[in-house]
Amino acid sequence: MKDGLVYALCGICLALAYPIANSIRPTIEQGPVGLTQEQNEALEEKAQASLLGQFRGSMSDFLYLQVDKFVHEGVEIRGKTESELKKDKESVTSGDGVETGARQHNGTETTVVPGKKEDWRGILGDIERQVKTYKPMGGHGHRDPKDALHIYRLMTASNPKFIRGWTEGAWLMARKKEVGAEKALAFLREGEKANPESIEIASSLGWLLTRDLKRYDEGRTPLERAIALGKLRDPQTLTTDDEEALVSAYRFLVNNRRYAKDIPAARRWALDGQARFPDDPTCRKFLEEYPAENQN
Amino acid sequence: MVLRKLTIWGALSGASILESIRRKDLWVAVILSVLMIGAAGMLGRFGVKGLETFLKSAALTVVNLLSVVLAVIFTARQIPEEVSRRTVYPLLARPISRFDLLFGKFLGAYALSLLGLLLFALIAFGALKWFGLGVGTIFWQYLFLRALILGVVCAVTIGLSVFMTPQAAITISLLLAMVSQTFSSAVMLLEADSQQAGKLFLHGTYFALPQFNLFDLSSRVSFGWTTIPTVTVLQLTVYALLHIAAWLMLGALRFKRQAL
Repeated sequence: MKDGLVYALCGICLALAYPIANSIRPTIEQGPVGLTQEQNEALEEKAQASLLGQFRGSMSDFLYLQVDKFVHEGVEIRGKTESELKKDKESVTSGDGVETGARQHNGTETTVVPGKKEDWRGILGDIERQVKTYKPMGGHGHRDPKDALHIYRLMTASNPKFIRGWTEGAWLMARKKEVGAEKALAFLREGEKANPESIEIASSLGWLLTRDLKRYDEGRTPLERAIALGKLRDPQTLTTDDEEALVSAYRFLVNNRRYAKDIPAARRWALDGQARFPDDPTCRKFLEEYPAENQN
Repeated sequence: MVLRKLTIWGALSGASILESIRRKDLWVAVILSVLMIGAAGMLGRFGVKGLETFLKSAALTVVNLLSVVLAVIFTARQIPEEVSRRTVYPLLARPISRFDLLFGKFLGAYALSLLGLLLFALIAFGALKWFGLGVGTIFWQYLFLRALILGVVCAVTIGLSVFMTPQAAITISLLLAMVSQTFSSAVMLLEADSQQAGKLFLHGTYFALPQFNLFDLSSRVSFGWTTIPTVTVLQLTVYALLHIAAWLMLGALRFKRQAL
C-alpha cells in the first residue's frame, strides 16, 4: 500500500515535470555563450581597423615630429622643465622672423643635448656634442619648411584623419611659388573629403579661396560651413585647434563679405562672431567701422 | 704563448661561426635583408622626391636595429647552449681556460654580427644609391662606429649570459642598446632636480653603463652634416675597447666560478 503510494507520487511528479520545466525554461535558460560567427568577424575587422588606426596615428605623429627636426637641420629640441625655466637654462631662440613660416620659439625650449656649460659629463658630453646633430640654437635660422612638403604628403597619405597635416601642408603649398594656391586648394579638397566634419579644414579652404585666390563667393561656402559645424558641436568638446579655426572662420568670412562688397552680410557675421567671441578684434573693428546706422 | 692563445681563440670562434652556418642562423639575416629590399622597392614605387632626409634616417635606423638584434641573438646563446648540450666538457678537457672559451665565443659572435651589419649596410647603401641619394664620407665613419658598438653589444650580452638565462640576457641587452638615447636624456633631466645622493647615483649609473647612443652617427648622415674629428673617433674606440674588456672580464670571473 505504502509502496503503491510512493510509486503513484513519483508518477505524478514525472508527469508534472515536463510542463513545469517548459514553463520555467524561458526564465532560466542561458542564451548562446560567446559571439556568433558574423559577430566574431565584425569584431575581428574592428580589431584590425583599430590596430591599423593606431599605426596610422603613430606614423603621422612621427612624421610631424620629423618636420620639426627637419627645419632645425636635425637638432632636437625639447620644452624646458619648471626648474630649468627658473634657472634660466640656455634657450632656443629664433634668428629669423615669422615670415619664414617656421615655428617661432619663445624661450621655453632648449636642446636635447645640453650645451657645454650646463653639462656635467665632461668628455662624454663633448663626444655627444660631436656625434649628434647638435649646435647652439640661440638666434638660430631655419631650413625652409616648404621643403618639408613631401613629408606632409606622406603624413596625410599614412593617416588621412590627421587634420594638421592637411591644413599646414596646404598653407606651405600656397606659399611655395612652384606649387601654388591651386594645388593647395586641391590638397585641401582631398582633406575635406576624408574629414567632412572638420572645422579646421573648412576654415582653411575659406581662407585660401578668400586671401590667395580672391574667389570670394566660392570661399563663402566653406567658411559658413565651418561656422555651422562649430555651432553644431558642444563647446566643451571643441579642441584649441577647433576653437582657433572657428574664430578664424568668422574673421575670414567678415573680410570675405567685406571684399565682396556685401556689407550687410559682413555685419551679420561680425555680430554673430562677436556674440560667440566677444573679444575678437576683427569683428569688433568691423562693427566700429560699419555701425548699424551707416547701413541705411 | 700569444700565438697559442690566438690559435685557440681563432679555432673557437671559427667553430662558433661554422656552428651558426650549420644551424642556418645566417638565414635570419638573409630573410631580414630580403624584407629590407622589399620595403625599399615598395617605397621606390611611391617616389622619394623631397623625402631624402627621411629615407636616409629610416634606412639607417633599420640597419642599427637589425644589426643589434642579430648580434644579441647570436651572442646570448653561445655559452648557455654549450653548457646545456654538455659539449662544454670535452672543450674544457682540452688545455684551454674558461676565459679562452668565453673570448673565443665572443669573437665568433662578433664576426657573425659584423657580417650581418655589413650585409644590412650594403643593402641600405645600395637602396639609397638606387634612389639617387648620396650619403657622403661620414657614412664610413658611421659604419666604423657601428662596428665598434657591436663589439660592446656582444661583450655585454655574453657577459650577462653567464649570469642569467639566455632569454633574460637577450631582454636586458636589447633594453640597454635600444633605450640608450632615452636613458641618457632621462638621466640628464632627472639629474638637474635631484638631491646630492640622487645625483651621485645617476652619475655613477651613467658612467658605468655603456652609452650605445654615442656610436650613432645616423642623424648626421641623414641631415648631411660633416664628418666628426678623428680624435673623437679615437676616443670612442678607446671607450668601446674599455667596455668590451670590462664586460668580458666580468663574464669570465663569473664563468670561472660557475659550477658546470
